[in-house]
Amino acid sequence: MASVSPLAKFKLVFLGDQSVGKTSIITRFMYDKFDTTYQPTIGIDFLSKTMYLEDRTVRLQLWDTAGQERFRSLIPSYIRDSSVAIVVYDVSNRQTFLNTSKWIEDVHRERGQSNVIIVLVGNKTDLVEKRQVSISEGEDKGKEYGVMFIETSAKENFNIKALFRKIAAALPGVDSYSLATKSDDMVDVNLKTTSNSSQGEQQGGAGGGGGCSC
Amino acid sequence: MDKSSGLDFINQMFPVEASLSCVESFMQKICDEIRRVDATILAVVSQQGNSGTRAKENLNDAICAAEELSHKIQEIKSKAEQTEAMVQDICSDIKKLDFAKKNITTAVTALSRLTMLVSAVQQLQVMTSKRQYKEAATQLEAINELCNHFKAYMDLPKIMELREKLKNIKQILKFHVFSDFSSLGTGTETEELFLLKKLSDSCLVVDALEPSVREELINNFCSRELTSYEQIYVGAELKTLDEIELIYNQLSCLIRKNQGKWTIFPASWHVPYRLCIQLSRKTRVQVESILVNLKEKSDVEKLLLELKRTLEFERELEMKFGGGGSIGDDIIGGGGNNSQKFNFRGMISSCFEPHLTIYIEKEEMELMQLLEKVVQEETWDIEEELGCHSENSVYLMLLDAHDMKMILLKVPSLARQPEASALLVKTATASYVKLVNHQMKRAEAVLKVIASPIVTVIDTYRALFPEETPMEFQRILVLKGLTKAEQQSILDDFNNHSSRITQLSVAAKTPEAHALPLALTNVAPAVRFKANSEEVLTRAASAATTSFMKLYALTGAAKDRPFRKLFNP
Repeated sequence: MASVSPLAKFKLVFLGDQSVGKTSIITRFMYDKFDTTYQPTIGIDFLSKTMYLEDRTVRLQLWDTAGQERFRSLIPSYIRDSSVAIVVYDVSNRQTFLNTSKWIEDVHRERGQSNVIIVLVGNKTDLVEKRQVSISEGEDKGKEYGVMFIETSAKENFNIKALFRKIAAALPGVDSYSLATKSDDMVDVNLKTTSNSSQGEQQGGAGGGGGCSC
Repeated sequence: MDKSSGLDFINQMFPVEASLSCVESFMQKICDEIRRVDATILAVVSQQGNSGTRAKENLNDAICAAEELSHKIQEIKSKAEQTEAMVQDICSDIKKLDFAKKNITTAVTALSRLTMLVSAVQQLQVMTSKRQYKEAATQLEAINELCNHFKAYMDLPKIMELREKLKNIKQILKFHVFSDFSSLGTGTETEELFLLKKLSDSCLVVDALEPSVREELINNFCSRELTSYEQIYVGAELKTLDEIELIYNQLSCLIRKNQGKWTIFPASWHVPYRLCIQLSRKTRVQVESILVNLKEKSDVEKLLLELKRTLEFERELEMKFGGGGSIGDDIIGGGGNNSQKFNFRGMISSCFEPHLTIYIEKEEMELMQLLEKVVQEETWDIEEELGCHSENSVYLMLLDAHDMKMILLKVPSLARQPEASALLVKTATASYVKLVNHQMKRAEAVLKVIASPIVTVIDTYRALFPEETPMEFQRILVLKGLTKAEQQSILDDFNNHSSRITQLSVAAKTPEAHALPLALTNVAPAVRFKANSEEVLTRAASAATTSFMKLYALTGAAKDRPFRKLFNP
């Protein structure tokens, strides 16, 4: 009897300033819905979805982070455990575009230059009259940092599926990933206080919950 | 038919007698044909019999096949039902799995936030021990949000443990903040500058803690500043008006010296305003003490000067800390609230009001002097006019009375009032105008009665003075220049017609008599102050009327009863 290869699992973390549309992009992708009322994400949010591609099936774990400044020091542990970082900005708010540099540098600091996929996403393209960042500027920044770039509109459902197909196409294949997958099946969630609490630099606790094995 | 047909056949076969020679062979053929036909009939009948038998068999086979088909249909139906049940089970399982996924997702999110909360509390603990107030404030905001998410799980031991730990950290933070504030003013200049920055950051922590902490901190700070002020400035007992200026100089010096320190606090806390309000209250007590201890013979100019200084000081405070631009970004107060809430007007200066009696008396004296001067001037004018136009004296007096009223109404504005008393004078003027109008109206009425002919004098008097007494009427008759006999005749007519009117007048006056004592007993301090100024104006108006009456006497005496000549041509 042929052995069943394990389902490939990938962790995606969504970064960016507050109210650029991180949660809206995820909601559009997951449920094909858009919520017009803005509710800031509290700390961290988790969702998972299975994508059926032509040649394989992958399971995506989506980690939606809070963009507010007050949660900034608590986000790095989730960047550390992710395979893909989606850095989102609002094309109608230039400051959010300028701040993407910090987010990308955070990813590089936590993951190193290699072994991580970064996608720069310019959201809210439906706000044509209020646009402050051109497509070419986004493309240039993508080239500058060597990251993928795409523009979307969660509200108009523009390029959302394309974004995730783009990510899926960039994900490593089953063969090269199977070993990593096995070792990463279970993640320990440690809620106890560490003995080194006096050291401020150390980040307490493990990041991310365990993935669903079904 | 058959018979006819056979006959025709025979006739057709044997048309002539010669053809009868072949009848034997023909007969043989017919017999052969008959045998063949019989064989065919037999075969067909046999076949029909067999066919019936086969049909019956086929029918039985068909029935069996139908039964078998029906049976198979039943089997298929049964399997379909099983399949449907299986599908239902699968759907049910899928639904359960869907719920399971949702629950797992929710659980993972909750656990992730809990992990984040644990990490945040640990970080906060480090920030607290290092007194990193700015970072601690940001961290507290994040922790407060995460804790809100776990409100529904407060009974869980882990959550309770975290909340207890957080509570302890908050208490330590508060202790550190208050401790750092208490060390304000004890270090070197360099240390002080560093401390100011640190305290400015600590206010962010206070905002992130409970609102009661902010209130406590502000009250502590204001209390300390007031104590410091009292120790330095409020020493000797103050007794003279000159020292009020000293108080304001000290306050201005204090404010200039400490204003930089007060910028530690967020603008939305309005600490400078609150502090100045309390300083103003203390200053008011001091000023009030000085005013109370004043000797009665105080200089009015000096008193008004100090009042002016006080108003200027209040205006200065308002421009610096009041409802100006500094509160423009206040979220709590609206535009209207700002002007009402952040206001220094009258905070100190209102304590001068009870002590302005000497000012009022001074104004009264000046008013009397002006009035006497005006009356004297008018007296000389009238004397000259009477010499030239004696026949129109009374009518000229009416015109003069009108002119005098105009002059009296201008009296308040003739004196150059200090700016500080403008509001007071404005209020007093309204009452004064009312009283002047009332009294001059009475004087004009008297003149009209004097000018009326003897025939209509009673009717005129009754129309203009419905409630007056016979004695008053007699006085006017005397002024009119009539003889005693003429007076008596008119008085008899007057008394005959006015007895009923007199009774009604007495009844009408009763309510007023009751109203007056009631009004006096209910007078409030503010109204009493107003009553003082009205009293002054009443006396001024009475003086004007008295002077006018003296004018009558003077005119009569000087011209040897000119009224008799005017009305008895």
